[in-house]
Amino acid sequence: MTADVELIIDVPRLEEKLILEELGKLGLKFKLTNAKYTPLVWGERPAEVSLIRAVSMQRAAYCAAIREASGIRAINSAEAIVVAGDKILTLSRLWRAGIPFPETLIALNSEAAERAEKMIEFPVIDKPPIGSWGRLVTLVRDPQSFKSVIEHRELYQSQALKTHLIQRYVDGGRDLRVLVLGEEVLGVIWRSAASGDWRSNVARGGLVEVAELDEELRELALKTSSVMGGEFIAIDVFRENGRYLVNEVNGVPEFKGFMEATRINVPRKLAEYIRSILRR
Amino acid sequence: MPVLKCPICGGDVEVPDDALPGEFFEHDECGSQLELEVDENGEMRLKQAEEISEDWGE
Ligand SMILES: [Zn+2]
Repeated sequence: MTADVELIIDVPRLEEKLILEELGKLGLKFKLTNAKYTPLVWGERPAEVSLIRAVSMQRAAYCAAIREASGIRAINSAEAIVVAGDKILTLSRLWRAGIPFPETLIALNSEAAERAEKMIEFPVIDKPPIGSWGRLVTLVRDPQSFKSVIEHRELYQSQALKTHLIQRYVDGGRDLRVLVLGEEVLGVIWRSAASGDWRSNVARGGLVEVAELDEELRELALKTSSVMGGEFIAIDVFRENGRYLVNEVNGVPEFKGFMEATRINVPRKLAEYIRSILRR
Repeated sequence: MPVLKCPICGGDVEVPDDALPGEFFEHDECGSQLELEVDENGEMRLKQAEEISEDWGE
């Protein structure tokens, strides 16, 4: 029998438990698939909708692609997960759509990064195109530290981890996180770095507080979500001199901190959104 | 709450009733990161958690 929703996970977190709870409360039939233990085949239709919640971007993208090919609605789509999962692909989308982000240079290896040094003004943020939770994201204040960052990244086997996004550092100690579901902007929070850390990811112990959603930010968020081809998307935004700059986009968003700050029941919203799709 | 054995130190680990397959737990006594595995018969056991990979995140 085909379920209403398949929840695809690899390492379940609090978010996934809350989603299961809310799906159950709305009376939706769900199936839990752990992609780490379950072989996947094309043509299989375990549910009408697959909600993709794997923490590994590769796994998330592959699961979405296989389910989509089999005629299942994947949330998010494989395309949105792949593009959001790679910061260079993301910024390319944003640029084409005219969505502003901090000035960024791409260096595809160490030599290019060394040459980029002469084109930039410190401080900068250096980060690889993939990964999250602030891993390998470095605030670089001078050419000397930039050299050691380049040397360190050269030690990795992975091509992606040898690749540099060199981005103008936006000061302020905090950023905004906007959560978009379908055509609705659910809300926005400020995320501040825990003391002693300049990164504001909640996973690193950052602080959260509810923020005001103005019309400009609402439009920016909806446009960003739409150019990413996403349905459930988190957008991290800087506010600088009265304007908004998109920092990152997340295709499998975490929302513990968002729920804490806004008191919005995100899993409930997700379950209701899925129910509305099933009724169409 | 089921009590399982830590595969690293042999100590007891309490796993909450709503634990899901694949969920990570830290064993306070030895600091190990553990992962809950459930086999076809519904038997639960803990194993050393999968290492965080470069593409993990949100
Ligand atoms: Zn132990």
